[in-house]
Amino acid sequence: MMTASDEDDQGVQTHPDIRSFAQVNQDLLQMLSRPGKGWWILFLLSVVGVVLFFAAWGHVVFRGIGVTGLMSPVGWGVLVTTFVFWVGIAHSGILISAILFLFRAPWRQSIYRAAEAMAVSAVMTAGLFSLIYLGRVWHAYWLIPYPNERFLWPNFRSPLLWDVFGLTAFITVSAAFFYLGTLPDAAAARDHVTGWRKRLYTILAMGWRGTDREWHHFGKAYLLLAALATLLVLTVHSVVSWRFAVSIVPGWHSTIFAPYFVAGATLSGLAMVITLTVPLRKIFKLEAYLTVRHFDVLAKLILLTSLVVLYSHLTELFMAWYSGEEVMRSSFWNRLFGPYWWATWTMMVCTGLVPIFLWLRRVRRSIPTLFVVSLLINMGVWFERFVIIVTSLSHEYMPFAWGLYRPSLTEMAVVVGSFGWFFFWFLLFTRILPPVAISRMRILGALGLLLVGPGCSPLDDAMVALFGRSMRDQASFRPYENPLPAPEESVPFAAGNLPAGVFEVNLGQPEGLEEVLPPFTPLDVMHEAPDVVHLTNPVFPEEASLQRGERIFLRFCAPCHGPSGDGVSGYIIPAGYPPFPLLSDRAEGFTDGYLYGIIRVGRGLMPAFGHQVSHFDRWHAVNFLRVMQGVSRVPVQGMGRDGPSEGAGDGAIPGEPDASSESSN
Amino acid sequence: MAQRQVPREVPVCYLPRSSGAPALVTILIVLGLGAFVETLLRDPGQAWRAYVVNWLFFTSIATGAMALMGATIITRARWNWSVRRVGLAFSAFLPISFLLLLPMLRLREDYFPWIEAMAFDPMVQKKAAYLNIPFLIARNSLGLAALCLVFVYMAYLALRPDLGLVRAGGGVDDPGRARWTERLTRGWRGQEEEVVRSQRLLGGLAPASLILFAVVLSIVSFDWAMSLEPHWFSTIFGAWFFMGAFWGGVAAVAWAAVYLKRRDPDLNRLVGPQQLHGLGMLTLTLTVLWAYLFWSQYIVIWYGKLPWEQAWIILRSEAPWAGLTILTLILCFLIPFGGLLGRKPKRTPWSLRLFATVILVGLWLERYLMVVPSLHDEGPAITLMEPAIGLLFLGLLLCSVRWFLATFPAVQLWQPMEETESVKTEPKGGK
Repeated sequence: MMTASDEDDQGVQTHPDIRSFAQVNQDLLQMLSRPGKGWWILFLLSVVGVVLFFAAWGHVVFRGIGVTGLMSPVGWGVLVTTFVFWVGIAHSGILISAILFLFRAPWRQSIYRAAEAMAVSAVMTAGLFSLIYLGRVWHAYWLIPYPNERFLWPNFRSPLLWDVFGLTAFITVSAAFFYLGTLPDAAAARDHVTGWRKRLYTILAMGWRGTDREWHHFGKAYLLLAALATLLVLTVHSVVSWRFAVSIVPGWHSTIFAPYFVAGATLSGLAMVITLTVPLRKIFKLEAYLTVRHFDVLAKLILLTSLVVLYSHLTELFMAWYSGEEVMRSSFWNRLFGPYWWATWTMMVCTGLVPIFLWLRRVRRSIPTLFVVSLLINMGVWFERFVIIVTSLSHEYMPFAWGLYRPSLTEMAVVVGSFGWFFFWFLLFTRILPPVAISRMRILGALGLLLVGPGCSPLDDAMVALFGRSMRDQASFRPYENPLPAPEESVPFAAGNLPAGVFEVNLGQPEGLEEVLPPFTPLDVMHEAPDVVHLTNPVFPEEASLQRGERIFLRFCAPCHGPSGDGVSGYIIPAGYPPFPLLSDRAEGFTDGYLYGIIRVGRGLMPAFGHQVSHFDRWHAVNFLRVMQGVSRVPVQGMGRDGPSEGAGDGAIPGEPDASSESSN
Repeated sequence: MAQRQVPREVPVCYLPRSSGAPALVTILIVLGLGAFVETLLRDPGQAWRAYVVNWLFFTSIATGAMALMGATIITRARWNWSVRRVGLAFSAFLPISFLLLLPMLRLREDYFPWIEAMAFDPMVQKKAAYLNIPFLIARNSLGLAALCLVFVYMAYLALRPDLGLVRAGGGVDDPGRARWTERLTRGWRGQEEEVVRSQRLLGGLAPASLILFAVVLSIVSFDWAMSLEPHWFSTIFGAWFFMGAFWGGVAAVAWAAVYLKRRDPDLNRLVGPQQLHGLGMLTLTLTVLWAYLFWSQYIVIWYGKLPWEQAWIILRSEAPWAGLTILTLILCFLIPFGGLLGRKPKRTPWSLRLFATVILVGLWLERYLMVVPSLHDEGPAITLMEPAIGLLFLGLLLCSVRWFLATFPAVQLWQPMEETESVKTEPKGGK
C-alpha cells in the first residue's frame, strides 16, 4: 500500500493528499456540469425506489408490525438484516477512506470521495432502518437516556443501547471527517461559482484561503480524525456484532463475531465502492482518474477481506462441530442443509468462492467482470447477515420452539426500496458535490422530526378518525407477549397489554367487565365530550378503595402532581415543567368521569396512563383524589357517591377493591 | 536524512562477527538445556509443559517475523527497504523450530488430557475424529513442515539476487560467507532474470504463505493450547493466536533492527528513524489489535455466562493465576500502548527496543497462560525453570538469526522494481 512515488517524496511528506486538494477545481467543475442521460435514468430508478420504500414503510407503520413476516421465534428478520448491511457499508466507507489515508496510499485520491459519499448515503439509510426495525417507530426516543417524567432509564446492559451511543459517536466523527475533507473543495468551488451557490460555499468553506498555516492545521486535524474514525469503525461495528454475540443463541454466541463482522462489512464496502464507481466512471467519463489499476488494487483488498471472512466461516463451522454441543451442531447443520440452505450456500459461494477468482489478474483487470463480482459479493454479504440472524433464531435450543420465517412482501419492498433511497442520495451527491452533503443532513433532521412527530396526540387522533386505529393501537405483538386471552373471571393488573380486536382501541379497556366502555381519545377529553364527562363511577369510596387509590396515586400521580397533590412539590417541577395543582377549584370542578378519562388517555402535557393503570384502579385513584380535595363526603358505608352516578349495586361490581389489589401484588 | 527513499546504491554490509556472541549463545543453550534436563528428571510433566510453551512462543515470533516479510511483499512496502533482511533472518530459526517440534509429537497422556477423557467422557468422544494421535501428528508435522519450507524458500528467493550482486562485486573474503554465496547461487541465470524471477515468485508465494501461516498456527493453537481443556472452545482462539504471533514477530524485528543499528556504523546509517517509526507504528497497531481480539473473546464469554465457556477464563482470573494474567495485560497492552503512542518513542532506538522487549515478555506470558493453567495441578504458578528452559530456545534463535545476518548481506541490495504500469499518483484531481 505504501507505493511511494517520486512525487510523494518531494511533496509534503506526511500529508500526500494536500497537493491534489489544491488541484480540485477543475474536478469540481466537471462534476457540476450537466449530467448525461445515464445519470437521469439511474436517478429516476432510484426515485421509484424511494417511493416504494416509504410506501412500504408507511404500510408497516399504519398497519402495524404484524404485516411483516415476523413471528415467534424469529423476531428479527430482513429489516435488521438490512440495517446491519447498511451500517456495514457506512462503516466500511469511512474505514476505507480513513485507513488508506493512514497507510498513505496514494491511489486513495481517486476513490475516497466515492467511499465517503457511499458512507454518508449508507448512514442515512441505516439511520432510517434503526427506526424501521424497531417496529413502533414512535417509541424510538425511548432509546435515548434523558431525564424524563417517569424516571425511566434504558437498560445500559443491552448491546442495543451500546449501539445507540456507538452509532451516534460514529455519525458525529464521520460527519466531521467528511466535512473537513470537503473544506478545501468548498473553497475551490466558492472561487468558481456565482449566485446563491457562492454564498453557500462561502459559509461552508469557513474562510478557507489555503495558506500554509491552514494546510498545516488541516493536515493535523485530518490525521487525527482519520485515526479516530478508524478506531470508531472497529469498535462500533464490533458492538453491532455483539448485539448478536453476547446472547446465547446458538449461531450467534461466537467469540469471533467482532472481527468477522468488521471483515464482512469491509468486504461489502469495498465491493460497493466498485459497484458505485463503475457506472460513475462511465457517466462522468472519469476513465482517466479511475484507472484499471485502481480497480486492481480494490480487488486485491476484496480478496484479502474475503479471506478473513472465509476463515471465519470455516472456523465457525469447525468449532460448531468441535464443540461437541448437540445444539451448536444442530444449528449449523440446519444452516447448511435445513430450510434455509439456499441462503447459506449463497453466502458461502458469494463471499467465499466468488472472490477466489480475483486471484486471477485477468479478472481483477476486467471491469465488467469485476462489476459482476462486486454485485455477487454484496449479495453474499447481505445473505451472510440474513443467515446469521434468521437461521439462528429459527433453530434455537428447544425443538418445539423451532419455526420458520418468511419475509412478507411489504418487508421485501422496504428492503428493495432502501437501495433506491441509498442511490438517490448517492446520485445527488455526485451531482452537486460538497454543499449538498451538509445541507441534506438538515433534511435528515427535519425528516426525523416528522417521523417522531406522529407520536403526539393530535396526529394520533387524526389517525383514529381516518383509519379507525391509531399508531398506539396496532395489530402487533411484543416479544414474550402472551397472545392468549386472559382466563375468565380474572382481573389483570394493567389493561392494554392484550391485543385488541380489529378497529378497536385497546387502550385502557376494562377487562373482565361485561359492559365495555366506549373507546375515547384525548380529543374527547379535550372537548369535554359528554361520553367522558358523564361516565359513571362504579366504585364506592370505601376504605379499601381509598387505600388502593392512595397507592396508585403515590406511584403514578405524585411524581408530577406532588405527594400532597399541590402540584409544586412534584419531582418534575425542578426540571422545568409547569405545576398542575389537583387541589385547585378547577380540578375540583371536574366530574369523576372526566378525571377517569384524563388518567386513561392523558390531557395536555399529561401522558396517558391507561396502559399502566387498570380500569378499577383509575376509579380508586379518583376516589382517593376526591378525599384529598375534600370534595368527597366522609365515606359512610352504603351511602352516596360522587358524580352523576346511577348507583349500580355495590356488591355486584366485578373487580371490587380486594380482588384488584391482590392481583397487583 | 530521508530514510524513506531507497538510495541508488546500497552498500554491502554484514553484521560484524563478534567474539562475545558465540560464547553468550553457548552459555544460554547450556543453561537452558541444563534446566530442561534437571526439570525432566524431577517432574517430566512440568518440563514438557515448559518446553511446549517455549516452542510455541519462539515459533510464533519466528513465523511472525516471516509473515511480516510476506505482508510487506504483498503491499509492496518501500519504507522498510533496509530492515527487510532483518525479518528474513528469522527464517534461519525455522528448520530448528521444526526439529524441536519432533520430540513434542511423542507426548501422550502426560500432555493431552483428552486422551484419558476419551475413555469415559461422551463430549470428548464426539471429537474423536479430530482429537486423535495419528491425525495430530500428521497435521502438525505436515503443516509446520510446509510452513517452514515455504518461508525458507522465500528467504532463499529473496537472497539470491543479492548474492549475485555480491559475487559480481568481487566476492567476499570470509570463507563462511563465500561458501554460502557460492552455494546459494548455483544455476545462476543472470542478474536481471534472477531479480525478475525472484520478484515474480515472491509475489505469488507471499499471499500463499500468509494463508498457510494463519491456518497452520490456528491448528497449532487448537492442538497445543485449546484442546488442553477438552470441553472448552472459542472461535476467535486461532485468530488471537496467530495475530499474537504476527505481533511478536514485528516486535522481534523491531528489537533486532535496533540491535543491528548498534553494531555497525554503516548499518546505523541505513536503518534510520523512518524504519524504526514504521516498525513502531506496526507494533502499536498490533498492540491495539491484540487487545481488541482479547476483549472480543472476553466480553462474549463474560456476557454469555455459559459454564463451560467461563471455566477457561475463571481459572485464569483466580489464584494462583490472577497475578500473571493481570501482569500479561499490563505488559501486552497498557505499557506498550501508552509508551508507543507518541512519535518520539517510536523513533528512538532505546525506547523502541524497550517496548519491544516488554511486548515479547508479555507475549511469552500470554502463551504460558494459554497452556499451563489447563494442565497444572499444584505448586506455584510459575517457577524459575520455565523461563530458564526458554533460554535454550532463545540461544538457538539468537544464534541462527545472528548467523544469518552475519553470513548474508544485512541490508537487502536489490530492490523490487515498481510495476511497469504503476498507480497513477499524479491525479489531475481527486475524483
